[in-house]
Amino acid sequence: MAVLEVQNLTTHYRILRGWVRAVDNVSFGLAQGEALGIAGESGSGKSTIALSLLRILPVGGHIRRGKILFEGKDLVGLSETEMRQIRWKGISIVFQGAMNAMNPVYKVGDQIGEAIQIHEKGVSRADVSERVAKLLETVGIEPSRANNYPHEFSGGMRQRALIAMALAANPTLLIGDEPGTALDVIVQAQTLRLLRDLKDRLGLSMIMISHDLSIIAETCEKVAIMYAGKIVEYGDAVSVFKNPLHPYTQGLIKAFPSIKGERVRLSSIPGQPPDLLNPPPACRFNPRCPYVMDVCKRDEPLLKEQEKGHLVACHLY
Amino acid sequence: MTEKNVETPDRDAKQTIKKNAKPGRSKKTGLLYVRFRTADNSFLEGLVPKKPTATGQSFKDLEFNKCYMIKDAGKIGRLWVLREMAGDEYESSKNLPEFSQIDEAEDNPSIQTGPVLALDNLKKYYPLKRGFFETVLAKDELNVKAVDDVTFSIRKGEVFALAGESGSGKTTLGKVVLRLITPSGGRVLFLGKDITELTDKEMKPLRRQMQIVFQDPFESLDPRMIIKEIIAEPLRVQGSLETDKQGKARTRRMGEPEIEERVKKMLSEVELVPPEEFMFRFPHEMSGGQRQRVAVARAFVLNPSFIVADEPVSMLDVSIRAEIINLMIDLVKKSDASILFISHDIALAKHISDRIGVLYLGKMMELGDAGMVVDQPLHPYTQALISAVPVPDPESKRAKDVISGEIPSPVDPPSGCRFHTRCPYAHERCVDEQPPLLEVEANHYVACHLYS
Repeated sequence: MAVLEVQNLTTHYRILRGWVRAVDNVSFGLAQGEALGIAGESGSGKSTIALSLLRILPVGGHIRRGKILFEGKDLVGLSETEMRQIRWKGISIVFQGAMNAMNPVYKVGDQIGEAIQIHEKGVSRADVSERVAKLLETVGIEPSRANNYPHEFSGGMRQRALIAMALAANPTLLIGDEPGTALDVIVQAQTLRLLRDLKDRLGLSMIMISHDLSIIAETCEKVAIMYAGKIVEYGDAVSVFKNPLHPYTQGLIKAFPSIKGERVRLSSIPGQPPDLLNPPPACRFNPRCPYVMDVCKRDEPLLKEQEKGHLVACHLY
Repeated sequence: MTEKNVETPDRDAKQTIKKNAKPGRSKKTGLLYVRFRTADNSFLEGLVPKKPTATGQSFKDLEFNKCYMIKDAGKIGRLWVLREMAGDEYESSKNLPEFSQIDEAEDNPSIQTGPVLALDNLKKYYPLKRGFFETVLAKDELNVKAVDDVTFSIRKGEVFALAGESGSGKTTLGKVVLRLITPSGGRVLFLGKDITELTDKEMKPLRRQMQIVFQDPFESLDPRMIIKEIIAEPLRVQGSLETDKQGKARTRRMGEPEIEERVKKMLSEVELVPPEEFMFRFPHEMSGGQRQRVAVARAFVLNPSFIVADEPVSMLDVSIRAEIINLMIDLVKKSDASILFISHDIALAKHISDRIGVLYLGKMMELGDAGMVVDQPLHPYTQALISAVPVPDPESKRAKDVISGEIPSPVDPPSGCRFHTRCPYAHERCVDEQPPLLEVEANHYVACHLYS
């Protein structure tokens, strides 16, 4: 059964000059124990999806249309009190920037414990600290470090502590919003490996959000490629990376320098991401697309199944 | 009377402080150190007087990379180094010959040309600020050893990449070679001259030759200047370089129309076309990629021979990174300039650079041709770094052996080999003894006891 079913999600930000169409008509599903990677450049709307799922959009952000079915329940219509039951217990998130995501004046252990106390009324203090110790152990931190403040942790340890915090209330779905982006390669590899291990061990479902395709290739089974607020390609990681169909995906994969293989001249996608206040008509990639046709400027391509389990929104197919 | 008495010791005190600031350097020997590359691929070292000789020759004006006939040795050599001889160095050096006559000779193309930039045991320590009692009680000074004994050189037209994690000292090194920061020890030879001992005034004409592109185009451009002014500023400061009738180089102030012409040309070279459309914009009216193009234009407008690019694309979107990189590489190749490319992304470094140096806690761990360093890394650290780089291929999900731990603090770094605390092959020798950077294969250097 699908843990999460997102249907036609449309999230816009209201600003003085109009609506910024950050996420437009996005649909995807996620099965139990599956990891989905959402890849895209900055401004493509991938973080907005994460914030919409948890309903923690900043001021001005509105879910204007669509459904978010989490374990069969639509989150869009829930009241704030009901939503609080879902957050952390149902869906939790590991934010990017391990440096600023923790409160500097509380001990790390207390911050992790807070999540447990809020979600399970009547747990004794001893139980809480025992569970905190266990959580820290799970992510590979010495349990005695629970009494440290965040500044006494290194970057990698803070990221681990954030993961421990996200796991505090035994969530079904874990969202990683650029985990590891601010970290060094070696620490990043350690963090990704930890996330993968945890997912397999605890049977978590996971959504990984990253601009780095290689991070997604290493951690996820399913991939959604976003461009300017829309999913342009969706499918099995192997099939998307081996046989990218959308011109944007092709360009993005080529733009990544690979550590393996011959030295090549890097290629890029000419032009820039569009202004989401006023996105290009029809296919939003048409001003930068090398295969642009008349129909691309007239009709919006729909996400269609091209191969089994591999969907693409492009008029070429 | 009393005034005089007070003043004298004060002045003396000031002088001692000044002397202590640069030990050994203050003592002038009145000699210049020269090093020539000869046709048999060896070096010819010697000393020459700083003052013009009786025959009227002034050795101070010898030109870098020019061929000279050294009468005393009876050889022709290409000038690689010309710098002041420091007092303590003079005393400790082996008896170098003193040359008395050096004449211009015809260029011999078979003699190798000198490196644009050569670092010689470069060090940059930042003293740690501590409380008063700690300072009094502590025996030695505590330093953050950001760059520690780094030696390498960059050839003409070469793209040299410096890779390392954050905290490895790569940015500090980039700033020291441009003398934006003064080093704590060692030398930076730029076009054969030791720039660490030049005054700021002497540095100014050299700055035309050395430029930098910073990481963040949102912070490196003045928000109150229009693009035209940003690119024109180096031209206004440095003027135009010309040779007069006697063949001597001199600078000339440039007129407004001339400056505008150059700015326009530069803008079209960085593909901000038409230039008229971009010239009068402010930085905030441009995207990140366009801003970085402006930063590149500003760096190249004086036709420098050496550029430091400090993570120039890490703030940009993936799809436009390649454009900026290719643009810079093309400009460098076109003008035969050299570039020191600082990056944490070793995969990127592999594709764009000729050679790669891997830095860890201020020390050079491995140095060699880009392909060699990445495809057959020798140092355990380089191996760990490369295996940690994620690959955009979902089928290569291997059980990775990631080394544990994080980069230690550069204050009081590990003894011996700096990497021994995390190295899977560490043995006793690594704890006690610092491994030297040795050439293990042709053009492939590594600092590791496994290979010595």
